[in-house]
Amino acid sequence: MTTHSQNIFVFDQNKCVGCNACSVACMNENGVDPALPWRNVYAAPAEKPELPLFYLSLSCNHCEDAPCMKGCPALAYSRDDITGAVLHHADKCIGCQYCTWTCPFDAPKYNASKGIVEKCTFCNHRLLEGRKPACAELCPVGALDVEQTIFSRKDSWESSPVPVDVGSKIKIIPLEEGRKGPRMDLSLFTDLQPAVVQPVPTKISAKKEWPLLIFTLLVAAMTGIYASGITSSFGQSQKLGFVGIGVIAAVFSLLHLGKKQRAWRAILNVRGSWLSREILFFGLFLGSLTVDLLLFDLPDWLVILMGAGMLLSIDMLYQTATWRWKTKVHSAQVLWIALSLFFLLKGMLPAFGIIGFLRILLYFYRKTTPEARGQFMAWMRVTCLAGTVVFGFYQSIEIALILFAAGEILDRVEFYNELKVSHPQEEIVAS
Amino acid sequence: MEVHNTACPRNCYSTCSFKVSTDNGKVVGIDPQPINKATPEGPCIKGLSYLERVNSSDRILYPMKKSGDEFERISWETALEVISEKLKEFHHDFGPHSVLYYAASGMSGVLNGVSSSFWEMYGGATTVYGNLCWPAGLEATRLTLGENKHNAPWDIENAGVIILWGKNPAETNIQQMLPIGKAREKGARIIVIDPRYTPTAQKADLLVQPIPGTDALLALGIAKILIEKNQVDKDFLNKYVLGYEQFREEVLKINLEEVSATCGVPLEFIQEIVAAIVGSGPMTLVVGYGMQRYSNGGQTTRCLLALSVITGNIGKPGACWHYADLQGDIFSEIKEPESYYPGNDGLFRRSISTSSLGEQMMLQQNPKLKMAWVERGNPLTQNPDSNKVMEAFRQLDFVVVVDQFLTDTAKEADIILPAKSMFEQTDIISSYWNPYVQLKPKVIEPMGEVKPETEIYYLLAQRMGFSEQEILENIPQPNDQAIEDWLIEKLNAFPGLTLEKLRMGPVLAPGLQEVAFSNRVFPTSSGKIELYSEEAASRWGVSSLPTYEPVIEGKDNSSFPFNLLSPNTKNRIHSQFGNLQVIKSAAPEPYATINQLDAQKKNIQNGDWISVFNDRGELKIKAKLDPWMRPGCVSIYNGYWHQEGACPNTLSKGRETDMGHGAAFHDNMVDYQKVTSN
Repeated sequence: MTTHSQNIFVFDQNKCVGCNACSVACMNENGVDPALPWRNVYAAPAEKPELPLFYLSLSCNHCEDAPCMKGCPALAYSRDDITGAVLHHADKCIGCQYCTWTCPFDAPKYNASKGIVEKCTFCNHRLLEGRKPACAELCPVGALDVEQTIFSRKDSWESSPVPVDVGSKIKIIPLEEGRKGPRMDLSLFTDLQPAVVQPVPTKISAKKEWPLLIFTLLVAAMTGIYASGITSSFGQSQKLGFVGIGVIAAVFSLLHLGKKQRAWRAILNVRGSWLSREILFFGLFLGSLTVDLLLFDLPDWLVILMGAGMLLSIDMLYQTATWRWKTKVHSAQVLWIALSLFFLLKGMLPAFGIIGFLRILLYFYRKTTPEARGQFMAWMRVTCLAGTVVFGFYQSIEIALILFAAGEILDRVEFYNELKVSHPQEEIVAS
Repeated sequence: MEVHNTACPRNCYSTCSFKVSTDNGKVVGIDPQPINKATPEGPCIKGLSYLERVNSSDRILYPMKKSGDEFERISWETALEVISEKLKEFHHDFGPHSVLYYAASGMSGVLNGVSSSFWEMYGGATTVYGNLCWPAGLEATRLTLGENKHNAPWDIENAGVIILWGKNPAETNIQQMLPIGKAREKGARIIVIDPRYTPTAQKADLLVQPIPGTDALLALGIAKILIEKNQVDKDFLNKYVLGYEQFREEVLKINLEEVSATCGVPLEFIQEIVAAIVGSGPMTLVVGYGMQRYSNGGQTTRCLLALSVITGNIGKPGACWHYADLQGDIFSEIKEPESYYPGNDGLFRRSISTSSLGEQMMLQQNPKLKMAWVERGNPLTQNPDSNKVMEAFRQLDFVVVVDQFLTDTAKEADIILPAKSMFEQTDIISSYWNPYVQLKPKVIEPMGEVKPETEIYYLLAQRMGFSEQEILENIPQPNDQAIEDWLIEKLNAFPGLTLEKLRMGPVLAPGLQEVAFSNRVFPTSSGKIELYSEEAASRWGVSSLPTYEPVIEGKDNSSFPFNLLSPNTKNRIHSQFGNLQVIKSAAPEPYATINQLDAQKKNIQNGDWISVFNDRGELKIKAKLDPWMRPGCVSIYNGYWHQEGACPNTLSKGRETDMGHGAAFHDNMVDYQKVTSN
């Protein structure tokens, strides 16, 4: 329960006319690149004529739970004790962009030219001087304001522009009943068909995040292979090669970062961030694996445990982009991939089949989400898995493995393409 | 850091007061100035964009000379030498009228008068008469009420019903939404009459969407019902109005079924407007400028104004004809619209109509036009039928353009001179909406080699060989003190109004009536409000009564089926601001708004390229579908540049309004179709 007063944005939809002055006031005050505004003004899409015309001016809501801060692996976020502002520190940011996924309001913006994320500061420097943030100060119609008031978690939830309960500090005064648009001569518009709503450009796709896609597949495969015990029979050069794959995976994960030289910071938030945990477990997995294969024996369960921890972390951290899905368990999770590979390599075909069947069910269940597409891909996916079982049964392990890999790549590529982080514009369309 | 009071000098209703911060000779911040009761919360997106505009790397900071398709930097010495030689040559060979002096509304200020003084010294020049913006409505108001003024902006709060007819303040006068919002909270009815569903319409109780160009008939229909229901202010009409009986007689002849059919508005909606006027208390009728840019614009305005007159909604709190308030314009000897009449500026013996600039420029004989000097304007984009304007400019021997950016017109120049920003010279401005006189002080030294126009003319006058005495009498010397002295002399006519006082912030205009016409003085020839105006007939050849005249180019008399609307957007003042990055963050690329139903019939989707065309030109532009704009209309924002491929004046015709010498470029019928790409 929040009982103390705090700074919150107050936005009145009855007053806003969508003029964008708030957004430009912010640029002026904070030297923001006009191509990447910290404050955005969203409008009800014209393609949805049944919606009243209204606007939503949003930047960072300085949430109580601040998913950006919680998820940041590099501890690049902090909260100002006095103002409550959630602040991003450019010098600590590694440019992993995870906060651009976790924020429900699209507040952190990745600036590719600088390799870091940037975000609204609540005009903390002004708040500290007792002045309002520039956006609120300069709204020409008084639609945006900042108040110091008691704002409960419940109030926050009811007012949140995106249905995510993070204690966002924005109070939205919605259009009054009976004032959601004028009476007009609708006979002018009979036969109006709804136009196709332009989709909000997706932040995550296989094409954009291919280094992550390769990284996750490689480490899942490595875990499965190691767990199956095959590696103990490897020759020295094969062992070296196997470790080398881990190094390559590390390189791919680095490619994703805007500030590669600060990659070490990625493990600073093990207490709070699945991303930090992933990196830490990955380091431990690769380290213990290297020691075990090249230097001296370590207990296998220890290495496997590190791998499992890593895979679990990976699956957990993607949950921010599957928030709309009906189940948190889905077929493309790396834990499944590693487990399936383990059974396949162990020759435990019935177990592989059962897991496979379960995954196919999960796969088709996922296909019922609105983001899903591609019937052809679905048949390919099923064929690959069935083929793996068939060739596995006839002892053609090479062909089975190739089909298995093809199926997993397919599933994972589709998974990346179906990932969708929350975005205010989508919520307006959905409202 | 220093903070100064200033005000936005753009051709805009709001003329916002704001505070500007400077640091080390650089503009670094813009903040609200709450003293101004009309603009207390600060400027709009454009006002905020001054930070970029003044510091922009795209700004022209040096004289430049055309060399091939490019421009190269030259010295002031060279620029002034070349220009003065050309001026002397044309004067000698063809006479001063071979030079066109063209200035528009790019920056307001009392000092702009200095430019005319130079051209007077030159022996005159060809200049333009009329105005692109609002003269038909001004003239209609002048003929009816005797003068253009309205209640102070904040008085709208007292209205019981607010009719926003052809006005979209949410975009073009955003601060007006403040008193409208207050009135609404107190229960006022808000009616918007506009073919488009604007952000303003969203805040209304009722939106009526007539066929463009038929507003006069809609107003007369409303008047007829009011008269039939005996809902007119008899007492007011008897005391203050001339010609009500004749008006009544004419209006009663109107057939309401025909009104409904011609305007495309169901009778029940017309009756709903009447019900609001009758039953809601004082009416403020806010009328935009778009409607009077039709060939019937003046008469249309008279018809609308008749509604305020017959219901007695003039001269009381909350009751107002809200078109233009020139009470703040204390310096002009001849006020608008009379200053627009040809020959009325007292300086120039030859003037041509700005509404058909291109055509007129090419028609001039004895002497032919040889040279143009353009300042504070962008005629290649903003004057009607811009293909003709471009043709006319390209026929000239020599063109000088003073501007801050490389506009369409600047691109046609032989020599470009860098123009001052609003922060680089002190001046005094007024507004046509808020009733303040305001100082716009110099807060930074001009950037680069920028020189204010007064200095350019001073130096040019010296090179032209005018006598020192003559120059001193006409042009202030190029230093800050001389400019201030010049302004102080202007202020001397108004006791109590000093530069020092203006420095403290906006000052209400001397003699201001916050409720216009509250004294019931109407300076018409009869001394009464003239519904019947002999001058309308004698000067303009229209009916002496407000009548509906079909537009010259409309649905019934054009082979092109769509009305092209070219409204103003919140992101520009005419052709200014659209080039700035912060503005592009809100409006990245031009588009044409088309109705969704129309688009379905033509198989056009959002974002498709379309060709919009008529017999004057063609534009290839992206389509944006709007479900609620009236079908049969296309809308392309005024102010897009040719460089953006989207200037709507490519399609407009150079034609005068029925009165006031305005430009009727909204009589503009087009067709459109899908094209594969631009």
